[in-house]
Amino acid sequence: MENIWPILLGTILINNLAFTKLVSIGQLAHFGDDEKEVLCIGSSAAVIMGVSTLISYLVAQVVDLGALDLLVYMLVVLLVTEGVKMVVKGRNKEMFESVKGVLPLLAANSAIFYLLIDTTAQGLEFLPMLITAVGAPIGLLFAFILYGAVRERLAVSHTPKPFKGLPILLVYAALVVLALSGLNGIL
Amino acid sequence: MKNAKGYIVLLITVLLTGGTLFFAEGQLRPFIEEASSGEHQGVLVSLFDGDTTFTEVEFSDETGFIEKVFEAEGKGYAYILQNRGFSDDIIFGLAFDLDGNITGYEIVYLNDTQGYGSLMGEEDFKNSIVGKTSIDGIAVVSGVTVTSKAIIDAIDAAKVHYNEAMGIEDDGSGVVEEPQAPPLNFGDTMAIFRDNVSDTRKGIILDTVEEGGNVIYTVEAAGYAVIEQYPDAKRNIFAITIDPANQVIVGVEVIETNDTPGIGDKVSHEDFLAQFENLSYADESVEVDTISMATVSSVSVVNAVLAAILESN
Amino acid sequence: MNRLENKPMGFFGNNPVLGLALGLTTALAVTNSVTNALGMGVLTFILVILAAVLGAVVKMVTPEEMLIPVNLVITAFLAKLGELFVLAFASSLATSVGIFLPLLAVNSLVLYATGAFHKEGSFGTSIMKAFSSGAAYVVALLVVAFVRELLGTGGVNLLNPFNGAALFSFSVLSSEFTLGLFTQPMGALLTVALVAGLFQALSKAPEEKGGK
Repeated sequence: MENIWPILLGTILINNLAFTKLVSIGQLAHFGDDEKEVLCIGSSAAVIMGVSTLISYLVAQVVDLGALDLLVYMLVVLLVTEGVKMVVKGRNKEMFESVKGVLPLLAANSAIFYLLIDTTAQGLEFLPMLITAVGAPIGLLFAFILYGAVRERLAVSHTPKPFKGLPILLVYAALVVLALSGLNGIL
Repeated sequence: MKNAKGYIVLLITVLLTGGTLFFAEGQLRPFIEEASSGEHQGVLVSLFDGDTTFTEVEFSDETGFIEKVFEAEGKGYAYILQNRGFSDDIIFGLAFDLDGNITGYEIVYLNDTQGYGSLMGEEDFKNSIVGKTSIDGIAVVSGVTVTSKAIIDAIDAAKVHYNEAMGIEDDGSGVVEEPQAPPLNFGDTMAIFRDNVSDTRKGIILDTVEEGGNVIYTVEAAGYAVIEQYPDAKRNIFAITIDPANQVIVGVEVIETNDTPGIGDKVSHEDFLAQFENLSYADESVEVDTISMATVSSVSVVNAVLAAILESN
Repeated sequence: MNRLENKPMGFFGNNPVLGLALGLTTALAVTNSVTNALGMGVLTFILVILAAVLGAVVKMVTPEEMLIPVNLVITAFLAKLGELFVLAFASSLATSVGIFLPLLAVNSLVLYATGAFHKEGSFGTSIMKAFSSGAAYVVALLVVAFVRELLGTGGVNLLNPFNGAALFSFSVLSSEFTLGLFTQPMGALLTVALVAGLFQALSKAPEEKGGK
């Protein structure tokens, strides 16, 4: 049981996938135009990540996927994404309209896939995997919110012409990574 | 119905791609096997000298640090381990013989801070690992905790697997290690005899004791804290033993250091003080090495020694 | 992807990875050395072409709302094929890029090349687009990797991706002047940002409105 907090804290902050392994920056950089959208997209991504990880882990335990692993992961993610889409549609029609173009693309989120491939390849035991499947999505949501906030600030800041858009966002991301690396060694 | 058509297309695509992958994998498997056995060949060969056949072994590991396990025929086991260091991943190889001893340690990939994490690839750290048994502890290196602990945690995972495979029980009888200090990094050399030592920096003799043919001087000298004018800064105090007849510095002992912890107190390190043991000052061009990043504190020692020598004349 | 509308892909302006953030994950990960960038860049290029071909075929039979899922399956399929081939014939590349090889399954450039995002367009134009965007991608990757490896290790050491043998190397900076930062994740972000800024400065594309 002592393992829980290090893994949880690790996946949310210190080994946050988006900040240390640099996955899904493309999506973080562009998705979500205001707070509510970012929250919706971020939590959808988080749910997709958690549920897909659990499902693929269980499938991989039962079946030796071999060459079909990437295909199977993709199908699992597509399925879960579809499910999440339905939930969003059911709960908040308006929000659904504004994000419906983006949600299916969450199936192509590198962070989600990274976790899928990593947990099944690592041969983790069930409990650590479970905690990772809770912590990493929270970390992803955190990343989405952070980037959303950054983009809001950048939209009203004066940026030199060559840096407008992606470049300045990446610089900001680099600073975030630097800041978070200060937490290294806490565990 | 559009919906049905869509799902049918999806199904067919999945079947076609799946089938192709099956076929492709079957065809490529022999090439892949051949390639992967060669993948770590370089590291494996340097872990075990001589002609050895390595066979990959299935393993289960709950830490996730073990990448691969190889059995070295007739010689022992080799592990390819991976963990996250301070700023980047670390990959290294570890070898055990058949008697429970660690016989090899080779870095495959290490990209941490120069002078700190990079020390994990140096001889000193390697020597603290090779030669230990599979139940001994390995000392974490103070000041480089994250990187050294990452490597040690991975080694522990390998030990768990090895002990299980060899039927060795960890009864706690192994060596227990306290955190060790990193090896000293020496900087520039400097002469002991200099003309331009300012009054603030000169060593001040506090006490003189004669013992046999030697004289022991208690000297205080301004270190980093005093020169930088930190509030409540105090001078460093040393015991310098001189043999004036033979013009030899017998030894230097640190009584008190008051400089930055972890940096200035490195002057207490035995490797630094060992320079002064039985050091002749008959030739006034005699030089010693200062400690890199702790120059001012090192200079305080040298100034104290100089003051002791001048006093003994 | 509505953000890609009205933005014709170019080389300096709207470079697929540096301007439009396609395939950014791969780019950040493999540019720590020129060898990796070359190997993965060429691989991605090949996958992009194949994606365009397969995507065009699929588009003829797939209804619009299934385009993205079906093309994602194709992308995953191509990535796996790529992974198998690289593991078989260029395993040193596989070891150095690690998990980012199978991660090509969600590479947005490959997905983009399948044509999942534009409903019209002839077969010919899709292939042309694939070629040009793939080429722009490889060049961008090589530029970033060159900077990172040069500043991070002092020189460039180009290895043959097939067997790891050194092809050619040169060392310009002595180790006192190198910044390990550049081979690490933060350096990746900074370098891509700087090169992206450079490319954008060199482009003649009209200034973007707002921050998106």
